[in-house]
Amino acid sequence: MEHVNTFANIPINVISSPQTDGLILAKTLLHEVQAMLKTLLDTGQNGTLDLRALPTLGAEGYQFLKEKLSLGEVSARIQSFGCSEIQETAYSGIWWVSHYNQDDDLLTELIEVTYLPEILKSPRDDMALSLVNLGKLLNELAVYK
Amino acid sequence: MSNVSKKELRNNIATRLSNHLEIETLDETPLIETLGERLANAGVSRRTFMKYCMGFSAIMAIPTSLMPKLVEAALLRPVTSVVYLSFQECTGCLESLINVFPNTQYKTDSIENILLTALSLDYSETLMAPSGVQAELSRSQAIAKKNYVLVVDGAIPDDKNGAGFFIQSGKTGLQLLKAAATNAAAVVSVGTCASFGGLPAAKGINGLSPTRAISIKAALKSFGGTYATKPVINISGCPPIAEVIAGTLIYWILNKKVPSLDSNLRPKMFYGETVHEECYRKEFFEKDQFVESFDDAGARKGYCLLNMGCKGPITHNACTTLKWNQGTGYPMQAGHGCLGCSEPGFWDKEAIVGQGVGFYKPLDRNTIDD
Repeated sequence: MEHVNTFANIPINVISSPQTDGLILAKTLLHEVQAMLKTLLDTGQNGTLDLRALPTLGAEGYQFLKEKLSLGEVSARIQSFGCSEIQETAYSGIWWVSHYNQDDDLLTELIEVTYLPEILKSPRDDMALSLVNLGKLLNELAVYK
Repeated sequence: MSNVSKKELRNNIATRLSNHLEIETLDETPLIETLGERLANAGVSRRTFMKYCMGFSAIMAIPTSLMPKLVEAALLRPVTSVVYLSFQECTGCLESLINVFPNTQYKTDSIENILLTALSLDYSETLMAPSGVQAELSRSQAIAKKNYVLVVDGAIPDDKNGAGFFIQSGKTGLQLLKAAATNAAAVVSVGTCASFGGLPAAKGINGLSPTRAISIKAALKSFGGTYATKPVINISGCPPIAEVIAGTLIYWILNKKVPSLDSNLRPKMFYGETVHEECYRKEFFEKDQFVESFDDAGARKGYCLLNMGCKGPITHNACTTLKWNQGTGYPMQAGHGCLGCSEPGFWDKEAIVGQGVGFYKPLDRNTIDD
């Protein structure tokens, strides 16, 4: 009997599992993401895929998508009404966005095709409020000097 | 002790109150607050509100790519005023809405705070602080404005002669509803009682509801004119799922229109499927494996509860998708069948016509598609 001393010698018989509906859907979604990326480059129009609206994707299809898109250079975390995780995938311009609520339950999960996800940008109204608040702080500081 | 009569005493109190009210009303300044201002004043950031709305986008079938635009438009509009009236009800519906997030109720940015900040709840007998004359004043001021959303829970006694089934401040339920519905942009019937009559409309000994209870839609129809055509959204359930009530109100805030409704005027986004469709026990139904008595071998294996009277196949609701108690579960997961609480006339409905009423009477298997 042959000695089992290296990985190559271990007799593993890999059985390719039949493609499930979830996997087929995941591949279709990759095509859709590709089309969105092309549209973004050609016209500047953003695209979004809502993964919660695709219940037939299943755990297998979900995992497939996550593995194939993989991790890119940028990751960000937002702490607002629970946390949100924003991760650029290995494909520039394709972002994986997960929103959680305060109990850390998944609220919604999106694949966004955009230069920068909307949720990361500082909203203009909040910035106007910040300007007022910063002014108040500076006034207070001026009194103490 | 003075011999002041009760009548004089009452007059004195009424005079004092009316003087007080006059001072109060002088202070009334027309203030139109936008949703954006209101959220900022309450310390809710734009990002938080956007995220809250994003959470609803999948269940409301609004594309997430549209959400930033809808949110931006909503922030510039005046805050949606809500007038909440209760008639023949048990307060379970309001309880469902405000108390279903016990894990988050002490956090400042909790879901219910965001919803109650995004809306201006101008009148609700259960939640508001004022009582008596002050409460009456709150209501008359709230319904004098235009374009508020009238939320109603409870059925209405069809009491045109003022027989006394439901009298409040000398007015019958019908009179109160009519006054409140006049300026409302839309009427939201929360719960099965408001939507279809529910328990108060269940048949009594003589085959009639003791209070002749009718649904809010039926009451509005009986007023005729613009009342009959007033947009009505039924959010049925005993009680309805909190996220369904909140989701419908958020849909209104974002779109300022009634969502797509089914033939029973329920939002299709929540009532489009039966609870049977997404039930995890459906695979046993398809294999004809049924629980025959509670705690039998089939029950322990999680078989289908059809023969225990489950009304899932004819009940349209989001229980199996949104679930209850922060997404914990739904009745079938606890081993009990669906009672069919979100369907019209569920108290008196015979599972099979002629076989009598009862929550444990099974439906006819042959009439249900796999």
